[in-house]
Amino acid sequence: MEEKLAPMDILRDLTPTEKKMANIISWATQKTYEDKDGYVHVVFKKNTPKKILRAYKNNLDIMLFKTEGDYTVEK
Amino acid sequence: MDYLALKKQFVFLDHRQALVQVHASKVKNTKFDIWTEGKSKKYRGTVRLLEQGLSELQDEKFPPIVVVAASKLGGKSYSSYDHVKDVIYFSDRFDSKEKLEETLKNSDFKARNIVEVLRHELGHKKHWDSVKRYYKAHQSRYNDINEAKHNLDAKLERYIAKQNPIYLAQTVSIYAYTSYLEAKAVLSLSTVNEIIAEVCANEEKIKDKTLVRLIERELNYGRKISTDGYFA
Repeated sequence: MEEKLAPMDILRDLTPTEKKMANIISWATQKTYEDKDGYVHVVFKKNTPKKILRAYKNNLDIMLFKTEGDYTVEK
Repeated sequence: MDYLALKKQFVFLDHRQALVQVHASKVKNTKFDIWTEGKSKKYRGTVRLLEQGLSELQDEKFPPIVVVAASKLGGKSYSSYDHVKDVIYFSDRFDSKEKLEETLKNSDFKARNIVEVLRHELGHKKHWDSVKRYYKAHQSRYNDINEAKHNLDAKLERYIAKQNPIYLAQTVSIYAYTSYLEAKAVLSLSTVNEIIAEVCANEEKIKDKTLVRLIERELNYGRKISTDGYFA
């Protein structure tokens, strides 16, 4: 008889792509919101380095949420 | 370290959903249900690490834990839970407390030590045990256990969906956040699995007590309360 198998819940390190996304998102604030069409507008912390903002704009394809790249930086 | 001569075969799907078979021996002279694929120093160190963690969690009921080669579980994996067989697999990557804690220090998980990694896996077990109880109680309503799970998880999913888009990253962990988004992207039925396990890893550090309460309620579905007020 064939054994029943199912995908397991595996605790694993993030992939380099996930890590890159996580690094960008760690600069986002709780003011980040989703608009009525489901697009995420990221509100970054005041002191977010420029390279993080650039990385966000250049890596929209790796963001796991719907976004057109709109963001603001806290004043 | 002594082992029983009899070996048992364990079969599971790895991180790429490839079939893996391991033959493991039960570790003797321990009060815990630990099995190991190998007997080298590395495996012995991992078994000792598990014993240290389990001895601090004596009130909890663990399924068998099988120590397997890291390459079999997936190179970058730590541990896993198989809900069909009710088995925890643990990678031989970490054969000492120091090595594990050094790696966890900079990780994206909630867990920072062996006890919290074990609590993470136990969180998965409690979640699936709850799903199994729910399915058993409502079997006529659902075609399979996954359909029942979807319904049981719905309340928690709705709560998370109502929060801001980076809520999980800030409230639980980066790992819970990426796992949730990835599961959502592929329409998986496991969207809340890692969130539950991450909260279980270190419940005290979760600031949103509503989330903790929702998870506790889900994990305790159908559990009997004994006369001393604790869940049986």
